[in-house]
Amino acid sequence: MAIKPQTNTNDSSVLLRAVPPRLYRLGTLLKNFLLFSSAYLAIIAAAEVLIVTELLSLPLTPAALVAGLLTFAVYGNDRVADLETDERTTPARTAFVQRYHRLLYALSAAAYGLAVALAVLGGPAAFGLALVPGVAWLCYAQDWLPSIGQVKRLKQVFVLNSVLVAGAWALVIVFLPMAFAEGPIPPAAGVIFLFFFLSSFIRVEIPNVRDRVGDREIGVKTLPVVLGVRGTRYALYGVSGLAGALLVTAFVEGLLALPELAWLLVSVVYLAVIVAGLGRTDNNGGLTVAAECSRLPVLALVVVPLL
Amino acid sequence: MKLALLASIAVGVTTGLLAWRERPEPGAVPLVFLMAGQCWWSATLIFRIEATTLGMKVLFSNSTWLGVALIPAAWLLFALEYGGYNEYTTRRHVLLIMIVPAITAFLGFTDQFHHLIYLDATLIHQDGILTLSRTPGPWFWVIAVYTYLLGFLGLVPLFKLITSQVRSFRGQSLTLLVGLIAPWATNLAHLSGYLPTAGIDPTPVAFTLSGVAYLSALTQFKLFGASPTPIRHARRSLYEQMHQGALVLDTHGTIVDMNDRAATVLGTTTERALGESLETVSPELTAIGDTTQHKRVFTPKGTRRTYDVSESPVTDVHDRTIGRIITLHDISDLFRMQQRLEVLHRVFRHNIRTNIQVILGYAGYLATHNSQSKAETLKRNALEIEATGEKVREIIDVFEEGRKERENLRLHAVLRECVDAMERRYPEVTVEYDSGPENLLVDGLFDIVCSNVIENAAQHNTSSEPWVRVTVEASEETVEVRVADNGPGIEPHELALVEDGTETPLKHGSGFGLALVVWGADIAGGSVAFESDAAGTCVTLEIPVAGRVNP
Repeated sequence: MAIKPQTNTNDSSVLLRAVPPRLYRLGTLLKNFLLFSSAYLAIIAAAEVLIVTELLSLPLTPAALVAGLLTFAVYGNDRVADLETDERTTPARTAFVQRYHRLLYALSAAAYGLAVALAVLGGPAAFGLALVPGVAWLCYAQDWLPSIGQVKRLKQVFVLNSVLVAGAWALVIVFLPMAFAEGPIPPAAGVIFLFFFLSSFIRVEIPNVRDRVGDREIGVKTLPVVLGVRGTRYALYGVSGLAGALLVTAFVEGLLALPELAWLLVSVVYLAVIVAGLGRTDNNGGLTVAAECSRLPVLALVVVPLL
Repeated sequence: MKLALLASIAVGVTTGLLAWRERPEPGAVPLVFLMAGQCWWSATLIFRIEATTLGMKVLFSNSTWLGVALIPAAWLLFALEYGGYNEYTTRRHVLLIMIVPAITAFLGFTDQFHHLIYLDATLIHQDGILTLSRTPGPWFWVIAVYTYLLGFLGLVPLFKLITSQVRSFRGQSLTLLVGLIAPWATNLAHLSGYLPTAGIDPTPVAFTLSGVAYLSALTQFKLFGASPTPIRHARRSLYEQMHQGALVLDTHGTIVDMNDRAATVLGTTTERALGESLETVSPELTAIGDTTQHKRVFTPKGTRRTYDVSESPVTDVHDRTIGRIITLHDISDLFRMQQRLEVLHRVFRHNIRTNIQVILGYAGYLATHNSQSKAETLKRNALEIEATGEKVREIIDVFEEGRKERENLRLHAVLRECVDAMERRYPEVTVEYDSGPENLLVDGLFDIVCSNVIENAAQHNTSSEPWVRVTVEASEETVEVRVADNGPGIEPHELALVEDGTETPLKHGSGFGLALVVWGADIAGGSVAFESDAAGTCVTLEIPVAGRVNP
């Protein structure tokens, strides 16, 4: 039975009663919007661009805004497209998206339009990079070549699905600020790109543990579907180790300074801790959000001291 | 200008994505490509303005042609799909339309080798801006003419919808027109040198307006939510698929259109009949058209179908008659039923009246005289009335059965039962029965038909050594049941009653049994043929095989 707010006497409800109802509803709506439309991912993407900007000592450009808009557009669109398949794994999100699907799609489209327009300011390379997430999403989620028949949605192809998503985002996050800066590509760019690619790969596979039942039903092959949860945990430990080894090698080769190495290693360790929780806790949704926020400690370490 | 170009990209991408979601609605995909072409043009123009070297400016100027060439093709395909002209958007047509754009894009990227699009490229300072000055080459004018031509062609479906009775279609088509005319007018003004834009073609700036127009069409007027696409096809389908045959004649009586049903009725094909006069194709129908009868019924030669012919004039906006439509409504079943009822009515009335007159006459006689023979006659007439009544009831039963779903029966079982019943009722008649295949299923209505044929053969056989022979011969789809006898034969007028469509005025009607056989067989999808002379009668029933059972 649902508990009526006025009859609930615990501390939090007493606290909530102090909040005007309209404000409370607005706050709930905002929270749901941030969480369920994946707007928080847009904020994280913008933060990642700021991290890259700082790591590569690039000037501040609209790249962060473009990346944020692109992320919001692609994830918002993906939420609308996957309504049916997400119903079982994320019912609350699905209900929210179902209710606002028209608005969400329109906002996503407008966000992409704005992102592409802003990217044009960064020159042809930035313009091209802004198109990457859209094209990748089309390859990933859509049967856009039905006449060929043999071409599956890349979402269904084992490992390639996560490689595509991680690759597309790493490309945008790392190279967009460079495209806007219009300077030469710094030597560390390759290392930063590989690091972001590997950590994005881990972040993509973590939510797949939660979605494995639904994915199996619709024929999407992910690490948890093919290897099981335990196997996924070990595989992602391996990828985390690879990311750590890459950073150490880059440091040894002089491509990364010690503080940068430390910041990025914090992110790797953070991810490894979350990976360790796979299969050991039922709160897979919490693990997913925690993984998606894995850049925030780095952001705090890199950007906050600058303010 | 840069801000306007950026706005055009933002609106264009947004509109394109909203249109992409509406697939496979007609027009959605071409609209996406239209938006892509516009955005590409705007983006490359920004890059060209931003570029500082001649080489880079030329590169972006040349690559612009990819979008420029895509726009007219996408526009035309969008307009055709949206307007319901899908017959012009097949893969072949798309390839044909795309030939010039593809050549243009190729020539654009390779212009420095042939200079077909631009004859030269120089950097000049104009109004304080470093701009690219180029002289158009021959292909520039080819693609310009092609763009305007396709633009005009795309207007045709839209203009038709501006006067649509549906409000949202009017709104859609008007906003789409704004979407086309804004960049068009800008381009014309630029080509005419009226715009002070330092030599830069500002057409993409107008894409902001056209993007907003398309966006309005999508959101405000539900561009793909309420689509006029089916209108043309629905009218054609309605015409093609209607149960009635329909012909459109011009004022000279030439067939200018007809549906397949009409062609079938007239025993021709649309390819053969279109362009011919109705008199050539069907003189009988022309003759009916000329009559002033209230009821116009047409029965094509060599068929048993009957059509009610109606005619209505076709008028133009000035109320002038420019042709006529002839419709042929199949009334075969109703017509036949009406004929049968008329015959029943006549026969029934005639027989009863005759019998009653005899009874009345003889009853009066018997009141004063005691006559055994008159009493016998009176009794026979009373029995005839009873028999007539019984037969009519059977016929009504057959009509009722004809309207129901009937079960199939084994023909062998039906015939066996009829033959056995005949042997019991008429032991003096010698019966030969060759059953043929025993696994055939036929319509249940043939039960009554066969029993009447066989009973008639025995009942009216006045031969001294009467015999009846029943044989069965089956083919793949039909089975023939022949019932032959050595009786006196059937009176010609009775055969006329049932063979000439039953409309012949009845002279004497003892032929209820025959009528029942013919009508019953007809209703069940079979047919009957009679061969009769003084030496006997052979009735051949052709029955469709409804199925086969395992022995």
